[in-house]
Amino acid sequence: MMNDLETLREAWGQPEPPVAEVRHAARMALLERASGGSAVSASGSTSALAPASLGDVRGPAGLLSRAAVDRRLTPARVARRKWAVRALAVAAVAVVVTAGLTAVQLYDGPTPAAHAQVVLARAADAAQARSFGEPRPDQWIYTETRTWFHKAHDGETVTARTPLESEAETAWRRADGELVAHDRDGKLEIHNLGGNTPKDYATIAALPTDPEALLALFRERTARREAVVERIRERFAGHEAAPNPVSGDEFMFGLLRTLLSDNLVPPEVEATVFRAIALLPGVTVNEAATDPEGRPALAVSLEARGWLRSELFLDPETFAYRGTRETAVRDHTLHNGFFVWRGGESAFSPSPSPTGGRLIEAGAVYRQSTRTAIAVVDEPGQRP
Amino acid sequence: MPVQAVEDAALIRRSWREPEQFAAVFDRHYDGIHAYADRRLGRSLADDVAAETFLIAFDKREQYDVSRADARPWLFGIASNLIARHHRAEVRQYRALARTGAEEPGEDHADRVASSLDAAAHRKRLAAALAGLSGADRDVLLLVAWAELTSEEAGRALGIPAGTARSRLHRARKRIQAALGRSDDERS
Repeated sequence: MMNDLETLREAWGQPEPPVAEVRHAARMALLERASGGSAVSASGSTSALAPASLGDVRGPAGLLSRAAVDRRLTPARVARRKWAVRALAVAAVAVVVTAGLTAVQLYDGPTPAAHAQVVLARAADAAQARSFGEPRPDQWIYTETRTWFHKAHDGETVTARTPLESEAETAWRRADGELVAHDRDGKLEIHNLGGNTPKDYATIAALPTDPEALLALFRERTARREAVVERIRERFAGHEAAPNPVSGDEFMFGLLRTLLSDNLVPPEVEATVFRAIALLPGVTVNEAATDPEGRPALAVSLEARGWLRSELFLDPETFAYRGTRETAVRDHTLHNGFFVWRGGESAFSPSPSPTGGRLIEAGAVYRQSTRTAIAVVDEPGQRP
Repeated sequence: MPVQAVEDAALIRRSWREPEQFAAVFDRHYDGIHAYADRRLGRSLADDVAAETFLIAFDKREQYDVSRADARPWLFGIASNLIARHHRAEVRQYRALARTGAEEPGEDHADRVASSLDAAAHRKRLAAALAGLSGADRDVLLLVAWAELTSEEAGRALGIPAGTARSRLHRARKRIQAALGRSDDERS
């Protein structure tokens, strides 16, 4: 015999899960607010690709129960399956269409772009020649990273002299991409890996090794995001607090950088990432840069959003991944708390921060990160 | 090292310095919030309420009490405030249900409800009872029945003392029980 509360619960049943597009738009709005208008950062990759939606795993006969969905297909599993299928299809098309373009672009004179392409080609060759041991699916990828950031509030100004706060993080990611563990105050926390870029070793190792195909795959997987970004741009063109989400080549640069920063990447794919970055217009290389740890480094950079320089740091000798930095190249005001959800249609409305936003002065480092260790270990919590 | 599942509170704390990490809170709870708003307001308003819940939660993340491991009461509290803005639409929907037993847009309810014919039979009467509750009582009742919070959590969600939440729940349940009791009488 059901009690009244159970009857009330049963009488309405379980509603249909939200429409995938609606969910995606809501997540986008959240991530736009979370990014405060910043360029793609290592962790900003969460906005990269729509999460596997429940809509994709519904059977034709109607709904699986929520619990059944959870058991059968974790988001990571769905995402991985999609990546694998797409990778094959896109690789096949892209190789045919674009063969020949790269060679032309590699030698178009002693411009910064050409210099970048030459250096990145060298980086790709070095990566390809690296010795490398594949992790088993049950092994864990150990990483140590340090992030520097500002905790500026509305009404404050960040200058080149504003001190950054920093925080270190130790993480273990299982090679099959299903679990990630973090060391927090001596306790190890494990959770299922959501997220959207491929995070499991098998999918990463199977990414296309043709740079155009890799870019095509990333563009394909982010097409829906780009459409939303485009709609936001059109709607708020000229608005004082108009959102400026990163998109196109700048977004691709962020994704490729994240692929390197967050994962153990096999030599062939790492080389492809460097070759793909070389294809992005506007990429430059500084061989005499300094990374956030103060070490000499090679910096690969691209301007983003019209006010930031996004950098990827590599070891100047081995070309191994070192870290990232975003630096303001022009004064820019960040409006926090920026989107308002409007009833009826799923639309956004920008509203400038009542307190005037945060001014980031040209020359100020907005955010930076380094990876100080990466290794394969057998257990979470184990250090190399 | 001891291993434990990561708590909502830890995710929110992490988002203080890495705002993007708040997406993990969204990924965990969006569907639940959406489903709750869907039952109370219907699909289209639920889209708005669920999205706005997380934007507001994000803006308030630094005020989150990290001694509370589970963020659901907090999120459902935000959603409840947003739902309250649509008080009239909600009541209109319950009245429509009380008349017809179906929600206004001709959705395919057959699948969902077929598994529980008894419950479906109660639905019209329950909807009429829900339409007659005060907003404050309905909030507590539905947080317990549909969001599956305890009355104490519902109180925390709504920012009212646990005792108040309990007495509101008690009052609302009596109305619901009365509605169900009547339906049984009529059938026998």
